[in-house]
Amino acid sequence: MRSGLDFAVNSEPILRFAFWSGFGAMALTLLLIVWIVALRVIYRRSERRKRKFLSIWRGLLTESALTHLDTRRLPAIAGKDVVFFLSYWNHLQDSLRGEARGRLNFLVRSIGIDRAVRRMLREGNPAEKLLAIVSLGHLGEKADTEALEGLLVSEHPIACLHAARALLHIDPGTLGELMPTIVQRSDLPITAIANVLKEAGSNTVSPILAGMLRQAFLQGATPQHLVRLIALTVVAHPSVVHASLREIMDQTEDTEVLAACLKAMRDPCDLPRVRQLIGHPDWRVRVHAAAALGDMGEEKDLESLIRLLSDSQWWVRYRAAQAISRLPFVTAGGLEGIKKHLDDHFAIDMLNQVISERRS
Amino acid sequence: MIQRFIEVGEWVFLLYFIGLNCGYLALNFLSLISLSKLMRIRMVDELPQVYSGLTPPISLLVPAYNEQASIASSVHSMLQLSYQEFEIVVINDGSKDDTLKVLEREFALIPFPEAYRQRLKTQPVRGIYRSTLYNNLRVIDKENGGKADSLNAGINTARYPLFCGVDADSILQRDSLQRMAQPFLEDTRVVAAGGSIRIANGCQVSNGFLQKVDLPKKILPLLQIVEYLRAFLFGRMGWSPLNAMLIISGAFGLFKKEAVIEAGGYRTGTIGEDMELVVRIHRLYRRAKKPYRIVFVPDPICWTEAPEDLATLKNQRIRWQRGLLESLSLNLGLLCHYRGGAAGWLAFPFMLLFEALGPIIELAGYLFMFALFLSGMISSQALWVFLFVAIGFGILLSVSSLLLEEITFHIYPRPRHLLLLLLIVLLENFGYRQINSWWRFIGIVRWLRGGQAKWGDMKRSGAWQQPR
Repeated sequence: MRSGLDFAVNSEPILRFAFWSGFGAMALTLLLIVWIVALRVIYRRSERRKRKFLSIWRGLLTESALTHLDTRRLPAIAGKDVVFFLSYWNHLQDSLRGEARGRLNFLVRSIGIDRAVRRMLREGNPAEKLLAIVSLGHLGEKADTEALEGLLVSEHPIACLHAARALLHIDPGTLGELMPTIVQRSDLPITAIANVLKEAGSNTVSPILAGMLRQAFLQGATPQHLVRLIALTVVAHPSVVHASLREIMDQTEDTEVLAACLKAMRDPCDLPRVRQLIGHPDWRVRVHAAAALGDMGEEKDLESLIRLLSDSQWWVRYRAAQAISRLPFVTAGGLEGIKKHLDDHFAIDMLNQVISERRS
Repeated sequence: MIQRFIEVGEWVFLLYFIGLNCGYLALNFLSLISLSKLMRIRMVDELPQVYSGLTPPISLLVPAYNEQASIASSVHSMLQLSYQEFEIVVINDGSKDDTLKVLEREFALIPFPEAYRQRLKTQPVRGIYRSTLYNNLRVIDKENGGKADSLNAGINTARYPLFCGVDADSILQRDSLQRMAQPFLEDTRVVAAGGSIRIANGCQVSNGFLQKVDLPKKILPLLQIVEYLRAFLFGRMGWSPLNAMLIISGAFGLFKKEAVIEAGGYRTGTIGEDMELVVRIHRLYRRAKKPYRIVFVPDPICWTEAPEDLATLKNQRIRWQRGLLESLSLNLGLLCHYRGGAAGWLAFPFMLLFEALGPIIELAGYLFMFALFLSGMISSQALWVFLFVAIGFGILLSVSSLLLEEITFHIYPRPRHLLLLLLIVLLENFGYRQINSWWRFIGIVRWLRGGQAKWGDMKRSGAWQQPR
């Protein structure tokens, strides 16, 4: 031992440096091993505790969704178990509808968990805060609106999205105020915004979105912003938003905006607009015009679609062939007939492909 | 003079070993931060979600060469993936066995007159088939051209804006596509996402899906489990937040199709086509000053069978090393390019110095120290200290990857799993890592000598798979 220590202190500099580096690495390794074992022990304890808690509360929570329980006879919930309780409670809230949700809320208020939720929102770690946001949305109390609205401008996009969802749960009427805020945030994925709006319901979303579309266009919003707004029409009533889309379509020259509008429009009264764009110089517009004609085209559109079968772009040819095969008046025999009259081999190949797809 | 040379040599090797390991520890630290952030939102992520229908459809490209034994079960499991809209394109790369016949029989294939569009040049396509049982399954039969060529043919026929290259023997989690598509939804700049690959040996797989996680009984796959933890949990996760991840495993990666076509597709004639493509995308996007992101999804979503015998493992490692060298040498323009960012200034030099040239320096270090010891120029104490540092840091790195696993996914749930893995972490530093360095050194020599790239002959036991 003594000679080992002498070596570590009195040998050449390189050996001393090497020895202490290795020693440091080994010491750190031991520390990490202790950390790993401790984490495993904590994890297993937590899992055991969760299992035990849920073995009691899963049944009670399910029962409380069906009937008002006498809360005086319910077991107490320890502070450590609140997260387990809320995770399962939120899960049930998301899976159930109607009065069952109200009964679950009654339970939470009766046993005082709502106070714990608000404390978690103020003082919890990020995971607890997210859980609290979701829980407050389900609880649906207007008193929590202010705290949640503050989170709409949160740096964390996920907190913002969950806050928006919670606010809509509390009062769907707030959509008009919160929608511009969340749509404006470019760090929020449009899919996630659409998911939130879908929950609010198309009746609520449609008039607000129509107004936002018109306003954004008139105020000269960027094409990217317009495309984002137009993409959201997937969760709106077409009849409500189409007027705004028409206004944009009639005046914009931006190809991405035009393509987005065409993708969203399926009202037969827009046929003249779609027909005008079937020969657009940009293929991204032509491809959506072809697809739109497939959904609402008439017999006189067949000729334009057949012309598109010889387009220079593969996708335009493909969408045109699909559109032809979707037209209600074109039968399988009709497709074969069209093929016979084609002399462009690109067009024939594409029609062959779509005929084969149609058979599957 | 000789004494001075020895002293300098000792310092060089020592500082190299310490530098290498400190580099990895820094990556480990970055991973720890990213993974901790990710785990915070997982609890809420697991609540039921509402889907609006705006998720981008995905084409799964499955290149297959002599995969008659596993192709049917792989495709069956892929068909059951949970995702709104996806298609599967199997590319039979001129297999010499009955891969195509198995597919024809199992999925009732019929010839499909596809208007094939050759946006990327490939070997001739002999025929395209579609399944009469599943609308979203097509098979391309083409002349042999290698994995990169097959993937290019798959890209040519892919219908959707995102494509996912999957190895035919991969076992995917049911929600793997949802998880992989998430970064593309969150950030429009994302052009590629790599998934975390885990080892399936020892696990129970039924109907193409993983039913139960367990550790393999054999030592070689066990050693590779620790290696994979190191490679994925901090080798990739550490680089991802810096947008400097240079590797996306060919076993499971999701790409924006147009970005890949714009970059010229997979390069044929290379062994590491997966890495080469990613490094090339970095190079081209950086040079063109185009905004982009290449990200890593750490969730364990893809499982693969690891070699169980030394010969197969040796071939695999030689191939990987050659692939790494090819990828770096073909994209040297990224190295310290003034627009190279973290990819060009950190990740590329790191890979070059520690991964590509590492085996030469490591082996030279061992040889140098043993030669000095045998010739009596250094004491046994000095040799032991050198080994103590090299092995000590090796163990530290492996233990730290195990820590990341313990903080995050807890894939191996039982206490005996943890104990066994801790034991393996120690064991792998006594012989296994050194032999790996030797194989990688052979890879370097073979790369220098050149030679044709081929599909790797991978001997699979498939013992973990239960029949359908």
